[in-house]
Amino acid sequence: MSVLPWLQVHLSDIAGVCSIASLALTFIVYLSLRRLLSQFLFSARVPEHISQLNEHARRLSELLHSFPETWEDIRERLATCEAVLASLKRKLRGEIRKPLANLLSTVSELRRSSKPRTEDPVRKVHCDLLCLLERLKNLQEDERLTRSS
Amino acid sequence: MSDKEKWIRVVSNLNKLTQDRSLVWASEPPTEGLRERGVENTYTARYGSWILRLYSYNVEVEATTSGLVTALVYAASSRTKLITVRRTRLEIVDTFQSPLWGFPEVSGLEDLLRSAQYQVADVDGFVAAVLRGT
Repeated sequence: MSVLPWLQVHLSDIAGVCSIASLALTFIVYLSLRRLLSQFLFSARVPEHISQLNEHARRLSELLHSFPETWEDIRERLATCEAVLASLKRKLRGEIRKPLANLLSTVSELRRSSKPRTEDPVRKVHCDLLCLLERLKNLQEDERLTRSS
Repeated sequence: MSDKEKWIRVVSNLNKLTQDRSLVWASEPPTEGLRERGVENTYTARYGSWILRLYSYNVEVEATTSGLVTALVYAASSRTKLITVRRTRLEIVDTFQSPLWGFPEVSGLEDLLRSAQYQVADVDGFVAAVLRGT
């Protein structure tokens, strides 16, 4: 039996199967690239964001010494903190996104609200920010170990 | 709530009590052992029957390499770059200043240390005095 006539009959079928396989391969490559890009962004920018958030937490704690006189300064600090959190949210995947999104909405609401009667909402933001920082540091350490292994 | 989050909330509450002046800190000279670790000053406070001691000390840690060239240089030489960083420690101590238990290292300890320093230095009093012109 000659191969040529068989090939002439089935060539279009083979081409169809190959194009479906290449589509699947393209999708896998796309997913891998997305993962690589996200890892790159994490390694490149997250340490900087962690240090910015550390600074915001430190300043919030200091400003709480003289609450409510410092409310306007706290609002300014919350605004810059909100920008960092929003930027982080775009770079992170997984279960850390939920507490981050919660904190982002709390910060956003508090910043837009009028002066609170007590310092408690600001203290809650400060505490949640510290919790988020701890999670980010853990994530950073996991990432470092994954890369080195 | 995870274990670390529980400790962050404990430290955060201690910070609030410090800023409210419900927790009063006093400055104490460091013991010989602590001085060797770069401790310049310790701060102690009583919370109920517990005595808390707070201080910052030097510790050498492995540097996180940033940048491809630095990472390659250190990977090739199989050397570990060590840097000295400042860490904050909170402990429960006995009446002789011997540590009984150390708190886990969590975010917020530095804020607590700064609040204690602010209180001991009486920064509010200083600012009020300068503004009054006395």
